[in-house]
Amino acid sequence: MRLRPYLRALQVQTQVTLRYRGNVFAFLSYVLIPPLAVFFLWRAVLGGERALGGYDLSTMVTYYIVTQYFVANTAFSAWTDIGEEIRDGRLTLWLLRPASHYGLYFARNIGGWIPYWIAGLLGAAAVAGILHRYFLLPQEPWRIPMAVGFWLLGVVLAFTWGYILNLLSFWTERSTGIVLMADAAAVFLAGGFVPLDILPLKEIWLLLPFRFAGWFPTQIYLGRVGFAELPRELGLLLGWLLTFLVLQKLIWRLGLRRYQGAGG
Amino acid sequence: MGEIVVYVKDLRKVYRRALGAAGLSGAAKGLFKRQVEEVTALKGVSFEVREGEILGYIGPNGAGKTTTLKILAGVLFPTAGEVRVLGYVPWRRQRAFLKGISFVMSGRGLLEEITWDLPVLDGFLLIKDLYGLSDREFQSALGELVDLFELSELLKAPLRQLSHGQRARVELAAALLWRPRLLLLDEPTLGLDLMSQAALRGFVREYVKRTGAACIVTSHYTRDIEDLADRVLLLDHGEFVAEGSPQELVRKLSGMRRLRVAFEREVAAEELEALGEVVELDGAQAVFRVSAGQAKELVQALFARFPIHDFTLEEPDLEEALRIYFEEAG
Repeated sequence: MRLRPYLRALQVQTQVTLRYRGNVFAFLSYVLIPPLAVFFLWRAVLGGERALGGYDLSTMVTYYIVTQYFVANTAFSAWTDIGEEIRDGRLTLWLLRPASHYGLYFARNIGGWIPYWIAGLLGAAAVAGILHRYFLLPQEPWRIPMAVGFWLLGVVLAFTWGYILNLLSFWTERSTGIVLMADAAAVFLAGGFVPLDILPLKEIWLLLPFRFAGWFPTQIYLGRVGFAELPRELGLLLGWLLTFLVLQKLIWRLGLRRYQGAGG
Repeated sequence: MGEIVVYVKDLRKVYRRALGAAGLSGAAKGLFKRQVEEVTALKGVSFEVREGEILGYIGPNGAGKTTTLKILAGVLFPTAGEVRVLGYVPWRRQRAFLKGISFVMSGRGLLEEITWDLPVLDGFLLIKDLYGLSDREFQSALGELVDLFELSELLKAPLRQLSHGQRARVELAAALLWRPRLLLLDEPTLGLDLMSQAALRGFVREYVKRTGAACIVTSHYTRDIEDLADRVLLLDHGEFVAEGSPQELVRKLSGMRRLRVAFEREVAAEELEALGEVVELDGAQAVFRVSAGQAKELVQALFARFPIHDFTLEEPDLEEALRIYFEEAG
């Protein structure tokens, strides 16, 4: 596979995002405000020496800062533009190119997010600074790159999921509603609202792949997952990813046969 | 003539179109039951296009022109028929096929989609990498196209700050960067001023001449077709109704001529209408529509009754021939 088209698409989208630097700075609020807001809630619940499902106040605060960074920087809905393009016929512009549509959109998606990832780090560092009495650093340094590595694979997984949902526009004409609804559900299932392991029916939530985009990398960071468990989890993640990729390819092929290339 | 670039045989395309009743109640009913109708866009058309040839592909709205181009570009699957473009089956969308064609749609371009806020050159660099051009190939093609389209002062400007005409030039240049062997142009001059239209036609002619590429152009501006096309196919309701050079097409579609007469004094409309079909009358100037066989008779009758300063017998242009044809076809 030639990488140049995708690297260029990534670069171009980073340039486009940087043109709107106001948006990038405004994004800081997504990383800053939720952990600060939930801090007061969890301080009331977990004040003193109390703990819930193994989370004391420090662990919970750290969970929210780290998870919020991961979840807010993951595009579970891929890009609702994809569904709109199918509907209004702009997809034609992409079908004419000698490159994979999925690949180009994935590259653009990552390219568009990179400035947010960097700005988000500043935001997360700021909130960690504000709540420094409670914020925990991992005891083993390898946990940070390992958590980031799992999260990046989770980003690919989440993008592919969102991409598949957008492809439903080949059949439904407009999938934006489904995509946005599924986006909200995915944030929950990634552990963006509450740690999944303290929820009822946790076996179900932990069976789903969305946890890899938030909850699971944070568990690595917090030291709540041992090194020995990681190969099995990586296998599971890659299995999900492969399933999604095969599904994406199949739906794309079937959908193209229905494409009507509206307009023009 | 060169090799066959486009081969189409018995091409059919049937769409399914969802119907909706008007109004709120219609929308509510549509939630539960949706009616679908089948529309036949192409009824089995066959044609070929060769290297170095510009084919005018014309017809009224809904005739099936854009559908044909989209099938040739590999965007749509046909319902039936055989199609080869550059030797490939288009809808398999193989890389070598996609690198050999370029499809320009009016008002739609990849650069506007992706690099709207970025300098024009960034869009060209994206095209370079999408099509796998080497630095040398890119520089050579870019230099040529910048000269041809007079783009040197636009390369650093953001696309969104260009005028419509400038953007059309940029998109056309972007569509030629990888030197496609087949150029599909769908209403390329739509929305452009007269100067830009003429310039764009000049660019296309020059490109085809220089590279020997084949080109299919659809346009509602018959001037585009008259200026560009070596051969024209007229499509109506999904089938061909005429074929030939623009001049042949005019003759086939309309046996009518225009007789322009300059009288030495003003003439009343009633006096002229008694002799033939008056299309225009402005003081001492009149235009008659007359069949080729009747022209001589009408001229003699006019000379017998009026003092005449001058007269000319004109063939209708393509636009008028098409108007007459479709009026008569109902």
